[in-house]
Amino acid sequence: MTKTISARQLSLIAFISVFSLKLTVLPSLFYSKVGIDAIFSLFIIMAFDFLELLLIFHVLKKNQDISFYQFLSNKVGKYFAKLILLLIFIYYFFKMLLLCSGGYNYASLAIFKEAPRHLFLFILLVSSCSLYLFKSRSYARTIEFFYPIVATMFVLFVGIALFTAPLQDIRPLLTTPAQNIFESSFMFSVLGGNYLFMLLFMGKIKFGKNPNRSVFGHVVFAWALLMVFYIIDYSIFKYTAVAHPHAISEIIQYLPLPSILGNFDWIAVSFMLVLFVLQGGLFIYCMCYSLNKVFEVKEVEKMGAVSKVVLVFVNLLLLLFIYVVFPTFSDLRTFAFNGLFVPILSSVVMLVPIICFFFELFNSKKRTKVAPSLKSTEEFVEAENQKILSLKVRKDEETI
Amino acid sequence: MVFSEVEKLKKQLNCSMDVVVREVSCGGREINLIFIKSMIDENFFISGILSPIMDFGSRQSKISSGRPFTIDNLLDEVLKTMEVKKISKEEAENELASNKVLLFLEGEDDVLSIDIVKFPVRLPAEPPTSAVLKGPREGFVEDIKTNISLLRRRFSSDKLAIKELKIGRASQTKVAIAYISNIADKKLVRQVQKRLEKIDIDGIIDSYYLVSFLQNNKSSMFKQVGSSEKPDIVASKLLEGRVAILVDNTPIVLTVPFIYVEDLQNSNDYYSLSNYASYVRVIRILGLIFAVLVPGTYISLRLYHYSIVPINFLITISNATVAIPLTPFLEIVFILVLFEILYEVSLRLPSYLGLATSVVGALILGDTGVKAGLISPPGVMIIAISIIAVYTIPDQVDQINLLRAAFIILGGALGIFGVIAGVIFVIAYLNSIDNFGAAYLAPYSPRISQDLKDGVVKSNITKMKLRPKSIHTKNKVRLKNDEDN
Amino acid sequence: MKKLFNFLKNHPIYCLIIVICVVFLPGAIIAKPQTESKLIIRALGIDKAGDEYQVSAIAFLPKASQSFQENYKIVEGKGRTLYDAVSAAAKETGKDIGLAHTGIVFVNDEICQEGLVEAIDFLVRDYSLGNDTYVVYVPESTKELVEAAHNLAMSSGIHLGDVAGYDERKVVHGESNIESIYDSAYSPSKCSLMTVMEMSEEEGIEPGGGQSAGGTGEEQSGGGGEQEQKPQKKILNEEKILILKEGKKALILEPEQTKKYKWTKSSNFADALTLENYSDKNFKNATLSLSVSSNNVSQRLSFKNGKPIFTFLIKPKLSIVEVNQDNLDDDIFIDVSKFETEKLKTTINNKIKNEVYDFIQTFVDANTDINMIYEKFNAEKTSQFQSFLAGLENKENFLSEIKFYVEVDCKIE
Repeated sequence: MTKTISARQLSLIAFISVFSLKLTVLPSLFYSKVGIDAIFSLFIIMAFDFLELLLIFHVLKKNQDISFYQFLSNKVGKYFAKLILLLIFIYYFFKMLLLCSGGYNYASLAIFKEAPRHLFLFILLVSSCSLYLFKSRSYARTIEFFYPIVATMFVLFVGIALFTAPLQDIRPLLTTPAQNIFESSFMFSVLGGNYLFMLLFMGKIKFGKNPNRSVFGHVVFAWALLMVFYIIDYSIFKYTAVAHPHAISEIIQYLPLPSILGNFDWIAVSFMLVLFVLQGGLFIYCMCYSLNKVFEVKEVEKMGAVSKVVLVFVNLLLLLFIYVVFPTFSDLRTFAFNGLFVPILSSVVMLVPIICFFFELFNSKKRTKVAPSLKSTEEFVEAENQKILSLKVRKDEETI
Repeated sequence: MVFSEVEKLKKQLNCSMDVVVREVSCGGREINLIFIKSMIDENFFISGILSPIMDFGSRQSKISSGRPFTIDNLLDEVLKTMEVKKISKEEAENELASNKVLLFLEGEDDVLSIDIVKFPVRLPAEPPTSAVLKGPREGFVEDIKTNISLLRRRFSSDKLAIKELKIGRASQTKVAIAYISNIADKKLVRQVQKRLEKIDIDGIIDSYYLVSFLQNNKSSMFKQVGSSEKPDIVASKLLEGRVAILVDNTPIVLTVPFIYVEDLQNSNDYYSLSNYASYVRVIRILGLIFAVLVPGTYISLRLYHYSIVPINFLITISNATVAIPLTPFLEIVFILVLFEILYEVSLRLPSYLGLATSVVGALILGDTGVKAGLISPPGVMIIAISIIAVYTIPDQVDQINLLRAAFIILGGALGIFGVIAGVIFVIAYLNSIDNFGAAYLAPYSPRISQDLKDGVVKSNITKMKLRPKSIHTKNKVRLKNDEDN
Repeated sequence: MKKLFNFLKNHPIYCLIIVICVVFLPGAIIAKPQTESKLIIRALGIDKAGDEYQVSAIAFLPKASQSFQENYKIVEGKGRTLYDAVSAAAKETGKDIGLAHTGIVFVNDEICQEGLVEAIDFLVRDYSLGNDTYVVYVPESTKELVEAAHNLAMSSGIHLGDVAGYDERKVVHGESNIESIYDSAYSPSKCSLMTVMEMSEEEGIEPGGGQSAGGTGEEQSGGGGEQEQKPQKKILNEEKILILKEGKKALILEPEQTKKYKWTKSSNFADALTLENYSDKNFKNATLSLSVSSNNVSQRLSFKNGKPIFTFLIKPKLSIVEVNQDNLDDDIFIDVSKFETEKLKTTINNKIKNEVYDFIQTFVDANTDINMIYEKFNAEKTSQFQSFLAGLENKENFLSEIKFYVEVDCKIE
């Protein structure tokens, strides 16, 4: 398979995937459930994500030459593989829905007060789809290009807030019952699962010398920044965090700039808009990849047409849900964070890496159990050739 | 007596008035010389060909029992020219079309082809868009031989390889592929050669004709083939593992693969302090950002995002634009169109009229337009900054102008989000360009730490020990360790 | 048509360009700048009379000029709610409300008596208004102050927003902005702080005639003529602090009390301390002025017999900046470090201690937890403090049950 993404690029995508709505509306939503103990809810989601990352990374390193669909097909058969991918599609669909709706909610108050919703959606969907259409290599390189800017901006915001905003002591902590904390983590689990996308890049990743350091380093950095951000946010808006659904813009408003420079929040808004587009690209990729595999056909030309139809279908479905099913962000929020469907779906989907890990573990044990072959050299060579043929390596994965 | 083959040749060249046949009698035998008068060195023709033949003829006639001379005698003993070869009569037409002098000897089947081509060519002078304060001031010219010699001078070793092709059914333009044999990737050379050989076109007038054939994304507005008019720049690119393509009749030499950061670099950077070079490169990046993004951002802020604009700027801009009859978008477009018209006019007018036009343009735009209340000073300022900033990267003028127009539309139609999405779109598009295996935005995307030493920030040459990793090369070591230090 | 379709199919970017140009560009071509459709409000004054809100706003209106020239106009509106009143004010000029550049909001006494948090609910919800917008208490009419602020800005370029910013940083340490007031009102202490500005006939800064710098100021010329007849009231900013409890006015700290309050807050801003009739080996009945370059305040929380003990640990850094004494010796100008004596330090410490104790008594008597004593105990000694509160008959009055101590350790530079 063509290796289009390096381990470093993968780690940077993982870094970017952590943010967006977690910097805008999630602090206030979390706070409304469990108050300042939301920090622990977030930590639980983080910890679970980190565990998943370990499992996903192990599976990826063991299967560097096959795609995720091939991996699943080999383990559970074609139809179950398609079912799993369908679940992943629905999961990312809801993530994208939240991004579109939540993003518009943020942007409309931050800078787009009179702008109609279709303007925001047009820009977000077109730019996200174009990131998908330019293929994974281009997407990964684009993330790599914007990473220094995004990381520097975020560190700058955290630094500015730390040194200029009126911070308060966030104690006492753990005043909420543990059950509420875990429940809150469960209800917001759709905003976790940040590393599931790596499975969909299986087979395209070029693992260099020390990929662990890069991937885990960036992930830990992202989560550290996020935790610090949450602590600062709750420290500034200790009792009114629920009334601040645009946390990232609001924490930097205390910087005493002279009036000639104005507010600094336009930088926060630009930063968030960049994140929305980059994350949108990732979600569209995950959705389209999953659905393409569900409707996969053998002929390459037909597959090209199928992928275009899938892209159009995904966009239309998103628009349908945004305009008809969940016309406002609060409707979507209620469904996603107060209902059971989305949390259960997220939990089920988050079991996939665990299942894959056990498949991989079982597979490796099975391999070691087999005694050294007593077959003749010819028979051994023939068996190896059969194995290679059964992997079904496709020439141009990038057309999908 | 004009030989029938010679008559036939003349007819094949449409009996053009500059196709001349010179009949000479030499030792009792007739010689026909046919040539294109406008393409040869006349003095050399007389001194190197005609005179020796006549002297030989008179010597032959004095020898009473001389054996008859052959064409080989003429080739070996008579003609005083550098390049002479024996060809068959079938090759004669091509050779004559290639501006050679053909010598037909009565009774001989073979023909002599003599190369004394000379045509007007200018001296290597400093190109206007690559002026340097320090460093060589030579530039390529329209003659491929001179260009090759300018390159050869810089590589006095056996490593410089030059392969020649002829492209164009009618023009038969000479095209040379140059590379350093122990550096350039053979696969790249083969790829370039293959693409050029595949071209079946009637004529190549300029190297730019070849660009479309060399690039993968043919309809892309972004350059995928580098170009330069200076031999020192091309030489340094060859040393980095690139392949150069020289085309006859044009001073622009193409280089592949091309990465974007090349256009941010200037030869001045390598002939001055590296810290200063870094500083200037940062200015160029800022110039690029100003040129492309500022007008669009200005429109979007005025139309949709007044809250972002600091109050003092808002007051100044509002006061300056309150009485303008045009909407902000139309005002910016109007000023931009005026500037572009002025620019086009200044390109085409003779220099003695250009000054008057500049004054009129400056007065109309800078003074009268503002006083009349048709355009505002901030608008003029924004467009003027943008237009001037374009020339920080002169090789990207076309692209920057197009991008500017695109971002004006995006900023006006979609606001600041449109501008941001446009930037991401452009970056993603640049990253998707397939470019002879080199990443277009290297060394930033993908990040190649080693190549960052000559990216926006330039390091000292002693630190650039390896060749750029973004280009596939055979031999990575540029600078070996200096053991004395 | 077919060729066009094929072309667009092969070059989807052109489809995108067509969609943008057809759908979004026409709007952009005819769109006017937002400064023409938005009323940019720089300062907002809110009065409440009975059930009605009266709003006076200083609005920026663009005036054709090639240079930087501020042109403000006062717009007024009335309404049943604050939003109605502000909308009515904006409608006067045929524009929409634009609060993005509002730097300061004045509220009058009646609003603070009835409940500030409810009154400014619209301002809190409006995202365009920054969290750091200053809110200032005006004892009388905000309309008068807004007019004076307008005249001051037009005549001299001094904005009351900048003055409020100074107070915000150096007097109340970042607690008089809209977010802090709101946040504090919902905190367990329920106490918020606001700076105070008022109109005075004797002291303060004179607003001026209200003419624009460099302009003719025709709109204000009538007002200027009238103002010549009676003395103009001045804008007085005395470092007073209004304390709100549950969003309602509870206490006003006079300037002397504000100084005492400042001892309980860490700061890096210069302040002053005066010792009168001080004598030691270096001075004789001298009046010493000391500059407080920084003040580091921490606290020690403990419990004794179930009763909380709160100790202020104050560590100011001072330097002598002025000495007023008859018959000064020459060597008093040389080697300032000689002045630091134990007696001087003790005197300063005691003075600060007395002032702080005085202040503590004030806020305990008024039952206003300005220093967030509740939060501090709750953060550090949660269970003990909650048990203490549970044991009280009247939990609201917990301050009177706390023992306060003050320890001062000054350093003279």
